[in-house]
Amino acid sequence: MIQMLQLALLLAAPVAGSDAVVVRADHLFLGHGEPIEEGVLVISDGKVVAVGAGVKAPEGAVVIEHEGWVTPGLFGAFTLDATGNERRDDTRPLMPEARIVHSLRPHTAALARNLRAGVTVVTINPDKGRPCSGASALLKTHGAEVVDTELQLCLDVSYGAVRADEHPTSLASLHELLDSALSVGAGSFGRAASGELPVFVCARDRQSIRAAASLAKAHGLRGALFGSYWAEELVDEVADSGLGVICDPVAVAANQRAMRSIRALVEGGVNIGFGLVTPANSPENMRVGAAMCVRAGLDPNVALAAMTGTAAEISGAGDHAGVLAAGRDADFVLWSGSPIELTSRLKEVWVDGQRVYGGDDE
Amino acid sequence: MRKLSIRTPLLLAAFIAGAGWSAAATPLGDAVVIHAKEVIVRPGEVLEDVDVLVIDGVIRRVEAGIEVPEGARELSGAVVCAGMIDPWSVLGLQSTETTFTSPSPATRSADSFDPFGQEFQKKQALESGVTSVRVQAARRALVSGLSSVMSLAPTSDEDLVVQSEVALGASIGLTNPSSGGSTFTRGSDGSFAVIETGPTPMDPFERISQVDKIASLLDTGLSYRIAQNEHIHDLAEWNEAIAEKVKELEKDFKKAKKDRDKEIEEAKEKGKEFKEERYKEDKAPKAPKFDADKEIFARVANGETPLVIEVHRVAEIRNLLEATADFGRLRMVIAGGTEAAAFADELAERNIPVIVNPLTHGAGAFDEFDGHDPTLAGILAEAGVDVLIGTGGHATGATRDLSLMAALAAGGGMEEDDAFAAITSVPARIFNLTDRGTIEFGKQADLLILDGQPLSTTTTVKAVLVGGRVVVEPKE
Repeated sequence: MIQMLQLALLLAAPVAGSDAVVVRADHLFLGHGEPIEEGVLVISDGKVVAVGAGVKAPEGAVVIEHEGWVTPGLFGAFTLDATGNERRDDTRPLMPEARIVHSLRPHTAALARNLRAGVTVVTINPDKGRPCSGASALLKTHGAEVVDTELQLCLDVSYGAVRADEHPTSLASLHELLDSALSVGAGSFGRAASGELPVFVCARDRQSIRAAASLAKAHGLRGALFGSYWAEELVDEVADSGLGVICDPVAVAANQRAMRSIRALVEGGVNIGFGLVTPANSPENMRVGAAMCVRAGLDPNVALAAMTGTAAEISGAGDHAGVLAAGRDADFVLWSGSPIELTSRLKEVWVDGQRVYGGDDE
Repeated sequence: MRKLSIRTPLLLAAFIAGAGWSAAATPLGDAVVIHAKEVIVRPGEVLEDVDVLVIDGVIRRVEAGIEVPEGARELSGAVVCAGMIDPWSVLGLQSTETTFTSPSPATRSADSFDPFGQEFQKKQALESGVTSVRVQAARRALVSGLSSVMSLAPTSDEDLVVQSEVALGASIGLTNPSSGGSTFTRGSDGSFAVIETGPTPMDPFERISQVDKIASLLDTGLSYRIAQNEHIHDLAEWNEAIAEKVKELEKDFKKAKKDRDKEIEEAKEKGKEFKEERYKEDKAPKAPKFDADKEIFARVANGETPLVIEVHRVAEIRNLLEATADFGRLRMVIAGGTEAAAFADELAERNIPVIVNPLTHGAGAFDEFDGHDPTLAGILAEAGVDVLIGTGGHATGATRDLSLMAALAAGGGMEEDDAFAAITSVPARIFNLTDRGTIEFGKQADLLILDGQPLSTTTTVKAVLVGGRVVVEPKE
């Protein structure tokens, strides 16, 4: 349906300037659904003009024939490596108006490393471990362009946010603290409760997943919880809460539960995205985790969307990243094969319609 | 007569490599025939639409249209390839041995392999196509002891240990003797992961001094071997001298006896004690005291046993290459080699293979190196270095994901055939596992039946044979 709309849009207004570039790919994945065979991507002026099958190249456009896959730039959910030691403020439990973007180190090498792995956009988050640590930001890995300074309100409802000597001292008082802040509805808490500002809730164990789901349901929150590992038995509650799940990185040697929980969430109708979780994990690990989940039975297209469109959607970045559609920033990656296959090589990374990595040795 | 007709094909089979087989399809033992669309005989060499004949656990023929012997089991699949070998694993090792930091060089990892433990992980690894593993205990110790190659589907204690003393393990820059340490956690399924208790920063010079220690241990081994050889030489000389003296004495035996008797008589008369004449040949050369640890380093310095040394940083690799340059017979293998790309040409020239672990650690991970570059394996292979891919020896469950690690190396620039070789034929060659790693006449039938290419994410292992036995049964 979406594809047809885009096609219709293109037929109605084939506006492409002379700087137009057309990428024809054997397989074009738009960030959701099935990949388009013999797909065409038309970009101009840093934006996507049209995508789909059988789209005609505008006159005078540079045409790139790519025998392989084209996907949106991968979406890096939950990263901590662009803020140095400024990840967490331990002095107060609630800092809803804090903005992590003020801690951004734009020249960190970590961003370039993400880019080389095909990750074009990341959420930079305050670290977990405080009940409310303020808002995350959305950042492009090329040029450190800040796309959104108030992406998600970051909460943590796990044991990690509880202190022995400072309120809240128990999971119950932690829950009560957040519940009343959301009920009062002032500032960022109010915007979260009204559904305007998405949330990112760390939930590292079963009690916390249940708490996150119940807070979301009670206050009409939207967004995602972080913590797939223990979610297997709580799929129905998570699905009912309307929250998506940013998954724990699945690394080599992960035990079966890690993959099984993710599959159960998908089967239960929950939207999932893979967490990038740098610097504790390398950015390449996201694809390794996706491959491991596919080996354990996850649909490859769902796994691809969990690294692009769905991950962006549940992170509150659905309007800015994760999908290739007319009017969106032309951020995409050329691969030799499907990114689900680890043997596939990253060939080129394009951001805002410019090739920013790869392509030299072709 | 009847007996003879049965025996004849057997002899033929033995002498002319199975060519006399088709005449009489008589069961001669446990036979298996696999019909395959594609057989990866060895990395990069594929035969299409052929059958593989296995008799008594050994690969006997690979060709089209093999007549199925009576009573043989028939299997079929899209792709058949050799069982994978994880050249760097801890699967099956008891947890404490993995993190042990003070083993003696003569310690054998096979002795810390728990034949009954980690059943689930072993099963998963086998089901993912790994049939043998080289296990190294005490990875973080300066000298980790001898590593062993184990079978993941043994029929008895005897074939559990494929080779018990396959290489000596060592490491540079991983253990700080003065601080830090590690512990492990156990997951709900019995897997365990080593948790390093915080980074234990080691002074760069302290790390380099570990290289010197390894060099001096090699030197000690060499001296020990020289002393042993000298002793053998001295002993031979001594035996020769004794023989000569005996001959000399025998020649004038009668006169000498007479002289001696006379001397005894004289001594008696004078009331003196008779002193027997001493010969310097009486004293045998003394053998050097046996020392198990020095013996291991003697074998290593002499190239009888390879040295697998885990080393990551540029300065340490440079120093190691310098310090070992004079040990002409040393067979060194680098494990890890995170920053080894800078030495690719030298490693190729000196025939030093590298076991790459394309695990994707982040910068904040325990190993304190700023991540692993996915291009490393490809850069080394292109320079002509023998590249092996292993799961890194710190998580028992990692061996299951060996083929994904090889795939990751391919994605990072290594040729796909080379990446497959890095988990089959190359480990077999480097560690002298002459009976496995490829599908060839006479090799042990460790075979995988797959529904796609071995390094693909979406490929499923349909069946696994170890020594001709079906150890993972085809589903459906």
